[in-house]
Amino acid sequence: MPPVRIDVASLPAYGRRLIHEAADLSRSSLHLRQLSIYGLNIDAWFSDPGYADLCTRNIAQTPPGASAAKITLFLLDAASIGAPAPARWGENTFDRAAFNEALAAAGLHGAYLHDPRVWQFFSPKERAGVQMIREPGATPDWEAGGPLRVFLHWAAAMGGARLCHAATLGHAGKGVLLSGAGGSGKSGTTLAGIAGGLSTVGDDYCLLTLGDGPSAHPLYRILKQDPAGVARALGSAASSRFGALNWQGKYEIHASALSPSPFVDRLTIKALLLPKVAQAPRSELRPVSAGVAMRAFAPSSVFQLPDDEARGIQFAAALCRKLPCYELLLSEDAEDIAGTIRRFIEGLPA
Amino acid sequence: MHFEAVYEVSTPDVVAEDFGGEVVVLNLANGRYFSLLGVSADIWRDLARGHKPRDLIDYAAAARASLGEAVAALISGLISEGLVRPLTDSEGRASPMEAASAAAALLACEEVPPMESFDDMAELILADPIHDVDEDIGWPVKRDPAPTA
Repeated sequence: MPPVRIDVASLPAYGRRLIHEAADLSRSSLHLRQLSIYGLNIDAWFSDPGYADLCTRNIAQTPPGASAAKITLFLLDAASIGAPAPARWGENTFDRAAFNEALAAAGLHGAYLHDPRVWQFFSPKERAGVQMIREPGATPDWEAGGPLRVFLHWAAAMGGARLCHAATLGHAGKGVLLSGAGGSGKSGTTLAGIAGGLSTVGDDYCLLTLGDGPSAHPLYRILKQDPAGVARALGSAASSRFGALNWQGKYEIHASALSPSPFVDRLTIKALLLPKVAQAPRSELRPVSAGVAMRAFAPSSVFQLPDDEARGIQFAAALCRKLPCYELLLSEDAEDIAGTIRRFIEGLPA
Repeated sequence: MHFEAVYEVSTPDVVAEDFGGEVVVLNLANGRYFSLLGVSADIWRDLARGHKPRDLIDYAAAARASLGEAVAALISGLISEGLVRPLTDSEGRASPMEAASAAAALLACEEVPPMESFDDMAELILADPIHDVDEDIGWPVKRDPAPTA
């Protein structure tokens, strides 16, 4: 039977149906993993035990905190549960705004990845979400590096936290955000800092809260870096510990491969740094305006997520107004980069 | 270009954040974003508060013809990028020029900083996920152009 085709009009009903049918599945054929990040306790039911293990391994598993929300996710593949194949998009165009508006009107969030035919829906009211894929392993290649990312984005937003595209480095609980588009040097700077003894809550995505003062919390337990970056920061022999390259030609470095683990559960964020590959003789920090920081931070965070852009922009603007912002002109010397950032963090107020 | 109307920010697709010396404007529909500095930021604020483009242009031109041309070029850019749109019932709704943020700044400024635009994120938004996306990678990574031969 050919897959059902979904358009904007039928989208909310399809999302609701998938959520409710998932909730009615016999749990005996599914695999439960209890996951946690700051603010969220997640009961995640998987049809594929391999995918369950990947998420358990790579998601932060940090203490959720006293007022954490409990959510339930169903991560399903149609082949394993004997369900009809995921629907196809039935219109000749894909209007992202119309897609999001239709779901928002029904109290849902959603995303659709066309080629792998992955559907993701989340209901904040029911605190439940579903991902439907074709068969085990039919997730996009980037899933291993940031599993369940859109669900974490939607669920964290319920409590006012934001999933942000930023790296972090810290020392003694104080930290900085490193922001910029891909290729700006975030991950390389993070790895250089780690090699120099600094801590982190992530090199690509993290969870940010504003509250009394900005704080960053980890989402994942992996770092990503290309072979040249690994060699610069950790030495040419280090890469033998990190397995195969991923789809981007990068190592996905699990916390367990680094000793001691550089990951901490929280950093109090005191400044926003914009790394720039400058091949400078020594790394250098120069103050920049909040507007410059906003242009580096907001678009790369907001446009990489499927919806809720306006609130993401407001959040980014509040953060840029609150924090001192600097451009970080990078040298090629990992030790110099780490030392520059360490001295900067040590000089920040408690 | 229709300079006689009163304009408003093209919400919800367009979102602006004001940082004092700079206004950052993001168009969520196409992923493009913009920086307006100094008196250009003042002109954005004035347009958003209901000042007619014609009043701002004439005020600047009275000080210096080239200044009027620069204000007109800036406002034309804002309109053509779809960042502001005319109000349909704008007659009689213009604000007095004396209340404009740009009034004093225009007289004091040497030039109107041009609007700076950035489209490094636009590819993520404008990629047609049905036809443009690499089947092995998927959205948001665009497919390499198909060979023509």
